[in-house]
Amino acid sequence: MKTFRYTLLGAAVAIQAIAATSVQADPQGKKLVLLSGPTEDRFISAFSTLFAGKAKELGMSLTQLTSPFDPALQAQQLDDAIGQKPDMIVLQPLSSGAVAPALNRAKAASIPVFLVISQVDNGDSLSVGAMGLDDVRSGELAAEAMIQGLKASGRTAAKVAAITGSLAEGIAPKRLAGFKARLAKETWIELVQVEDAKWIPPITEQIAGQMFARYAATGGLDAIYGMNDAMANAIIQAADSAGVTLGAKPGELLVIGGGCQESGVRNIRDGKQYATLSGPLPPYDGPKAAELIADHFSGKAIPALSVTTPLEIIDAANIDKYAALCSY
Amino acid sequence: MRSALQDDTGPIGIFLVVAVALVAALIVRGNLSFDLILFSLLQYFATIGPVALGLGLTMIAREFDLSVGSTMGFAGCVAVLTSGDNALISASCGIGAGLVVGLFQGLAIAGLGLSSIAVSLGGLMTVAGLSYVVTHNETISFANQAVTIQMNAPLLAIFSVRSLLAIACFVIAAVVFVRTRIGANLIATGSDRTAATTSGVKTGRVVVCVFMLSGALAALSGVLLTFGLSVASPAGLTDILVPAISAAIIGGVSLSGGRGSPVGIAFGTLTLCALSAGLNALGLSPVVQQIVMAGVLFAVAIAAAPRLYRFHHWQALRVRNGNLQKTDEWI
Repeated sequence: MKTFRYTLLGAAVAIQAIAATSVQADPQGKKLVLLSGPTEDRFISAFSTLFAGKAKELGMSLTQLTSPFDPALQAQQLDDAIGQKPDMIVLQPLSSGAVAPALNRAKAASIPVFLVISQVDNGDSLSVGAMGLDDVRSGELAAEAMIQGLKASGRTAAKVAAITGSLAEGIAPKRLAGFKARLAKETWIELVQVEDAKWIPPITEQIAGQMFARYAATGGLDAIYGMNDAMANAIIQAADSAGVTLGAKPGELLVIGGGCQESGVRNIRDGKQYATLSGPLPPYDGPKAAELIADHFSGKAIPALSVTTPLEIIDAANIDKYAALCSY
Repeated sequence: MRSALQDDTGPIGIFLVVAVALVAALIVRGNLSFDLILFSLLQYFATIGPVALGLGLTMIAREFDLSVGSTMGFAGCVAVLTSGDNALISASCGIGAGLVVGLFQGLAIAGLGLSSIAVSLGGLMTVAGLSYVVTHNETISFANQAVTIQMNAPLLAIFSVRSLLAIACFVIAAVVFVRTRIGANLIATGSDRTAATTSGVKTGRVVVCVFMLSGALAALSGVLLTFGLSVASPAGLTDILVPAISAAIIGGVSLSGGRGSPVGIAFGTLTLCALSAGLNALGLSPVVQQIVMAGVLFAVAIAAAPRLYRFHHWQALRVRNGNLQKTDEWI
């Protein structure tokens, strides 16, 4: 009888413990603060919308604060968010270095942080997880696409250039490192110029126009890498204005983009852009980030870095597979 | 010309209204840490405050320093590039760079009689370019983490070294402004330069000094921000010009010169920071925040309108004198 009573008591305690755990471990009612770049940016807007939709579906509430790529303002917003005592801060770090002290303050206040879109260098201990892209691999694949296109056109020597996003820090230096490393293995290709357009299409268009004028006397450029499709589109605009023929045939300019956006899909279909890359894609990353956060609240282990978007070269051969996903 | 915001009661009043609204909103919102929100508010004050003070003083002298944003970024870069074991030396180098920028601009404006808008626009572009040159277009890390931790560590729950230094700048400026002839000379220079020169004020020297001060304060803010965030960027770490101008205007500084004070600028900056912290805490979108900020600026501009002041003055006279005949004297 005594044993039965103890067994009953033990079972009751166990059930209560499980119930308590399930209450604590439920994403329902959890309060999130999303700190991101400006939602005027198509990618950030699509990511935020899809992330918010999934988070709400999973029972979490969300407040979003945006910053126009201003690291100091984001650090202040991060402090404000800590003051709101949310269950988690979801952060798109606008500057890897500048955000680190505020992340330490979040950690000291026991508020977990999940990183999205970009990462913090050496910041594994400052976040519970991160959703991002392998940017070095992205750069390598851009070079791979360029090499494929140049080889297919039968060229045995090529002069190429890159117009990049902001090289001060973040994504662009990683992509450029991967791009340069892959091209270095092809001695017949010469990377003649790298210019920083800070992700701004009008500056990209201006730089591309200057490049066409500079190399026109020496046979012109064979290929240009624009780090995202908006920049690739600006290069195409500049080429059209300068009368440079676009395409993959000998003597034509090969344009490689990245980040797979609507303009890239259109330009590939029109034969003006040779290739783009599949990541990052909000339809993959947005909902998946919300699911990972829900998993964290449910007590499941989540990886330090999750790369969900399949990263591959998109060209005329497989554009139909990605057209809908890239047209956000 | 007098207006409703002639003295500091206007900025202080605006701040009190915003502060009460902020506290009410935070109470309604609930489950918030007041300490952390005040800490964040003062951190923002530390970033904007010194720049708004320097810029506001140039505005009082009826000049304008557009270069504060790039001077701030450049000083941060210089501080990191010269950083060794001693953070004081690197901070001095950064602030020294700001002083030199201000000196060149002041000399060009006062010595050659050039427009401060044109000179400081040139200064803005030149200094921004210099930042890219000295950093080789790379964000550079400030390696002295002990200083970063010290800069951001809460003192008395809501202050930090950064915010206390910014407050100290305002206190010193306010004392000098009120207790010495410097304040009167600055006001005189901004009100009527010819009359000020005739009455013995060395207006050229005032302009050079105020630009050096503006450069040094922008540089101080840049150095403190760089130390606090542990990085410096050639692109600058924040967009400072619009918030700094807004803070100065809310603080009662007149764009036509000759009016304003460090105390007013301090309360103008605090108003801006309280608005920002409150709206962030309420989770309002940045678009709504911009509209609210713009609304406050419009309200200040309207409240400071000379015609409005004359209307109030006329009404007060009418009440005092009984049934004074209606007149359009105030128009």
